[in-house]
Amino acid sequence: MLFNTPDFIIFFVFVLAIVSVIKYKRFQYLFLLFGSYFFFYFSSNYLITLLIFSAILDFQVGKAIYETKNVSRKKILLILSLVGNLGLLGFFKYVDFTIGQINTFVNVLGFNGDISFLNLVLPIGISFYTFQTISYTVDIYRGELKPCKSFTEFALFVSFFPQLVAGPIVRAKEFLPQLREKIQDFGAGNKLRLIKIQHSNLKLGITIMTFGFLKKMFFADNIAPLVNDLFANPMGAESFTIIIGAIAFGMQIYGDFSGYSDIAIGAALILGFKLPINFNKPYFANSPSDFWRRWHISLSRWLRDYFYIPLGGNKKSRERTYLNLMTVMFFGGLWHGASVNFIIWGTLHGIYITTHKIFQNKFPQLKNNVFFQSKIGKILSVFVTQYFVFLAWIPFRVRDMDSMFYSMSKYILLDFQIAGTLEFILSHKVPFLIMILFIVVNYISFKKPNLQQNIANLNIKYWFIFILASILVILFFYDGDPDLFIYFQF
Amino acid sequence: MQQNIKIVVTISIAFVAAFLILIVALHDVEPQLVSLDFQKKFYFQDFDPKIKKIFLIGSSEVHRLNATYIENYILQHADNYKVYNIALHSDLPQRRIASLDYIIASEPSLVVYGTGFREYHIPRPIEKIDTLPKSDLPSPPKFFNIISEVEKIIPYDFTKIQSPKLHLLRFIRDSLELRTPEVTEDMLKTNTPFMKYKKEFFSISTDKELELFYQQPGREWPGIKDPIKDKGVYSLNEIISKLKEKNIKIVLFSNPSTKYELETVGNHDIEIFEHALANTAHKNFINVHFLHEKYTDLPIFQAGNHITMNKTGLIFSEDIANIILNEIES
Repeated sequence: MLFNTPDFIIFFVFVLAIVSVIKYKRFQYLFLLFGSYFFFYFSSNYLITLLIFSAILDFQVGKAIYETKNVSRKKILLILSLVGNLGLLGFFKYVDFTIGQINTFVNVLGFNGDISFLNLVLPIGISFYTFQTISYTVDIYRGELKPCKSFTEFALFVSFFPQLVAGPIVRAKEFLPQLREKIQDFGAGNKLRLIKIQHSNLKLGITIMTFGFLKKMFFADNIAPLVNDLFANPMGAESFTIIIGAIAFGMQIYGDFSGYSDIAIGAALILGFKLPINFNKPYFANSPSDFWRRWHISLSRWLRDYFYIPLGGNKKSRERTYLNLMTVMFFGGLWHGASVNFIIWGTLHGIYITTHKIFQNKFPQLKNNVFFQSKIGKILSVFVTQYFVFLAWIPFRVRDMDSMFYSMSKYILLDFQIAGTLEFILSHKVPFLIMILFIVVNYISFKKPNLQQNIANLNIKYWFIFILASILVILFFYDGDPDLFIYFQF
Repeated sequence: MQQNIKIVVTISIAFVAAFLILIVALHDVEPQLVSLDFQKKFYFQDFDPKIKKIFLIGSSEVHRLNATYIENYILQHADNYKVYNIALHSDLPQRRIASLDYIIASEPSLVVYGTGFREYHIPRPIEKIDTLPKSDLPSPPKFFNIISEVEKIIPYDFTKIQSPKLHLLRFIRDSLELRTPEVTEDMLKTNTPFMKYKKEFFSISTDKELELFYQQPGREWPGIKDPIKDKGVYSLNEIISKLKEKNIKIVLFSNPSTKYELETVGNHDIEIFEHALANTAHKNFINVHFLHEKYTDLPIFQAGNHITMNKTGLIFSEDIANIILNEIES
């Protein structure tokens, strides 16, 4: 079920209506759980069994890890959880990719005989919910979290529909306390807390969701034609055209993904749950590390806490730190998809972060340099960072290797031709104008960090105008075909 | 609670108001990309009564027929014929039927109607096929198709609001007079009054480019509609029977396709398409010529199923000219 379809609107309104009308607390809780399962089943049919399997596995393993005193046994149980979840993820997502690589390797060696592909359907959301359940067992292992006493409580954490299929990746220790505040044990004498729709949450939640729909349906979907047209066959395109295409894709994927996250965060807030923010003006990042503190924050935090730090983080030697960074970013790229393109993208970001780290270590005085502290210096840092960020978007988007290398070379080695670029812009006037509007709106939201809260605080008359204007903009720029969210494929 | 109700009422009013504004704004929208008013000017011009008119009708694929070449070819065997290529971009039988009365009023002696698979495909599903696993378990989306249920109850033509963006952009362009018109008044006097030729129409795609073309998003084949229930097939039948009533000859042909298009559509749906056209022709006692597999091995495609306008593509025009000659002589 896509967020940008009438099906979701109807489903969500129905869920809200039932949750707010029915005062029986246990029913609210169970209804939310089964509503989430229905939401998942709607898009994924029998693959819901994987979601339930992951929840059952980690619930039991988490309980066992907490109860056992034996350190070796704890480790074995943790490994069981990791193998179970990563095995699921690895099998469904990477088995055909692995088979392809083996076949290529075997052919290069001169042997005949290909292994047949399994052609598995990629279960929606598997990259997200497996990471969520892993965070649960690891936090219990580290002694940072007590296990849930109720399986239904845990199942709701895993399957909560706003963030189920494309994040934000929620930590158990962030989400479960919120559940426990609302829902206590089913023990005799304990009262469950009622889920209440608070008007402040409702208004802010709707405002955040509106921003999400605007980002996705107005910006991302209307910039997409320019991106699709160019990268369907970029061979022969001029440098400036490629640069415009790379920037356009960067805007598209940001509008798409942060739009989805906003809809998820807004929907959860209406139900009284706070999800972590996933994006914080990433195109104003002034360094590669800063970019990853602003882009897909929930994933980068997860990779830091459950991968980078266990590898040693920056506590070992400098060389080990650089290696750890490259390893994490390599797998971060691979997480996005079973394709060499994503590996290249992740590796590029690894190189950026590592290079930045090397510079920081070699020239620590640069941090306090007057020029880099000045406004011009900061702007320059942002431009340089974003130059590399948009370069990395090219392999993320362009699957064909020849086209990818052509585009990247044109991006780096400018040909200074403009005739074709002007013609390209003139034949994509609307997406180009929307790109300019995106820059303006993004800058406004950078200068006013509480924009969503400020709009939600408006008097109801002015808030109505904002909502009406947003709906009209979305409707009048709707071209009749709800596009998938890009991150659904991960 | 009162505040919640206020917010809910505000949102509901906003939705209703937005949709009402949309419906009112698109009330007079015509689905044609070239307006009916403009087409009318062509059909009601002063044609020379001594010259017999032949109309080539269809979408942009038919637009690639060289009307001048066909006319010259025919004039070698017959006198006093003029060929007009009145193809329209993204034409469909259910759109063309809106100008049927004008076509009849201009009294052509022969109408040559070209049609292709993509005019009869079912709407693309919202969920991508590779993320929706096949299963024997019940599929909620089939039961959840609210829009089609609403369409049955409310007597409003929902096709008007299928693409508000298209109409909004046309409105902005027309209002600001920024638009470089696709067609001009001068073109009404030519033999291709409704569509301009562009430079890229004269190029030829390589086999690799054609293959890549069909791998682009949006080129998947979602399946063919059931001809019995298809508005397009119904409209095609209506067009043919009305033309026949007015003693206007008509001949049908299927548009040329690349081998990649045929692979994408699949044998099963190709058979359904052929069967539907054959039935239509049989029912109306007209001839149908299947050209969709005729040119698959020839390097004459410019983009997708569009034949190049350069001379290597004239084989298509020549074949149509021969079809026309057969009709004239029969």
